[in-house]
Amino acid sequence: MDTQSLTRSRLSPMGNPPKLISVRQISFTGLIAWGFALVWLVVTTLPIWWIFNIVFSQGGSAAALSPHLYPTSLSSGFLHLQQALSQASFLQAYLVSSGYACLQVSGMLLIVSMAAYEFTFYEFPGKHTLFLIALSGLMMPFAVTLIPLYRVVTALGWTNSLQGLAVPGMASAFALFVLRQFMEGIPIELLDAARIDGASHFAVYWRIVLPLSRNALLTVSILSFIAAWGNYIWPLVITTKPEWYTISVTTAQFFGFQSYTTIEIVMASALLAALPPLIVYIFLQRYIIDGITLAGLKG
Amino acid sequence: MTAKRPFRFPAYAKSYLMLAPFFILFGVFSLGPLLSGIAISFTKWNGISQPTFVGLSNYMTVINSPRFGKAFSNLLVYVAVTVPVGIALAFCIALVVNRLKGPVSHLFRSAYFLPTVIPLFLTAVIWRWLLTPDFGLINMGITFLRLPQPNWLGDPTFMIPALVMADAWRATGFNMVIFLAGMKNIPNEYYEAATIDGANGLAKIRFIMVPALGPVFLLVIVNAVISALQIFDLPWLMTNSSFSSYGGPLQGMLFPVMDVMGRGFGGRRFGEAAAIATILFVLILSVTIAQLALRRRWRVF
Repeated sequence: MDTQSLTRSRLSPMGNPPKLISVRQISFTGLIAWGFALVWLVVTTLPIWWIFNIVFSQGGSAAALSPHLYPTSLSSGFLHLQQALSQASFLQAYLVSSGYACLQVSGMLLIVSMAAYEFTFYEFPGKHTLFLIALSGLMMPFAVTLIPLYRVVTALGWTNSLQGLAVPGMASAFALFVLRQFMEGIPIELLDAARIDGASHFAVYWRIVLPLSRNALLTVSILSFIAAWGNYIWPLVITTKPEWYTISVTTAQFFGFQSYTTIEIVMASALLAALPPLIVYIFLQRYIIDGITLAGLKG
Repeated sequence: MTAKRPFRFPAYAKSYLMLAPFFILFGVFSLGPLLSGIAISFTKWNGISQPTFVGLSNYMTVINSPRFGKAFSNLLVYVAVTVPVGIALAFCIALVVNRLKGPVSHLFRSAYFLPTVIPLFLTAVIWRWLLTPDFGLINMGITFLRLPQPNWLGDPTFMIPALVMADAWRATGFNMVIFLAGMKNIPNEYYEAATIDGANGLAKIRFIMVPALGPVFLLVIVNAVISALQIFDLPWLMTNSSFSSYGGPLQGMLFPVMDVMGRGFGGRRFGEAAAIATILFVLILSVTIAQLALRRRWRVF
């Protein structure tokens, strides 16, 4: 698979948009395809719609027991959202998760882009071996490193802290792979021109390469943000005090004790927990799809 | 006698300096733990005191425990069902989306991908709730069709099918996107040539698209197998597990990573937990190596 040309054309601002191949014919199979498409549309959206439906309905368990297919009360929906937000533990978890995701994304961006810059534009002894070692991270199963990682992080005294949550995820082999693919498309003449103007090694990276890699940086940031926001297993292990629980751990607990609060408020919490990735998806969908495509077609 | 030259760093020293942060973090938080995880599996360690070397005894304890057998037999069934079902579904959906044209296809693709961006922990808790008997959405539908209601999360017969459903809901959009990208890379001329030869739509899929997508299928299958082997969030949260009690009724949703978590953080038997993780690692590594071997063969064709 020609991933390089794919990345360049879809991620670069200069490339052409990809052409759609159409094998179109109006026929019986076409009708089946349409039917199938509509059924799957219902399957994918109904559970999410259902949550909306419950949040934006009158209280009590009525929504769950006598179902209707559309929301009935806007005002009680906002009330439920407000009630969800007024739970101190939920707001705290929202803050912790935001801090965790932002710290992980910004740290990742800095260290990975520096490494990608060196691997793309410079020659140095051991380059090939180092790159292979870094790429081995693509197939390193997290479940396997969990116990020893816990050992390292507790030894550093980082349990119940933002750095304990965020730092282990920063050296992302996936982000390195995407950024390097992208940087290969930057014309070397631009770097040479900057050097002639007296730019240092670091200045070329900071003033030329980073700004030109904006799209790729955005792609890896979005994917890393979504991953950090949704991560459950690592926060479950590394946070022991309730004030350090992330949104994943806290929301899972809300669903755990079913008598703790009403289903409307639990669902309102779920909706709020899904909000940041949903907003990112709605506005920056193209970058997510590009990143996933590249990840899927790697190699 | 040669004149003494002032010491200068070689030009590539700057490169090493810029690479250092990445490799320090990678070594401390990825590569190091991978290697020390294997070392921990040969020790007895409760998380506080110093680990003591015990040889292969963790592996013996783990392999002889009934929970290990249950976790791995569940895993085998799960992988055998979820991988073909999920990939067949994703491929069919990609075929459909590939046919649709214009803004409609965009809309469908966006909707199909939506479950993939919902955080996994939410998918799990939402599906647990959708699958509750009596007033869960799915059983309401089943009652509407006048069929008997399965007790999805209480009856071990239905627990893995429930898990497969939740996983298919989540992962199909992801695999669809990869298939779609692969389909768009197939040159249009292939189809035109086939049309001239009188091939119909199905024949084009069977004889042009599927062979051309061979490497994409391989990647999607391998990714699906590797992530299925590590399944944790969905079964853990769908069975409302905790470190002391996990796997659901009759351990119908017990999987190896859950056992790693339970033995480690519940039982403080980190050596045993690391032994299970190492066994899992060997499995994942063999899948990866098989993939590399297959890919090399593919290049020959």
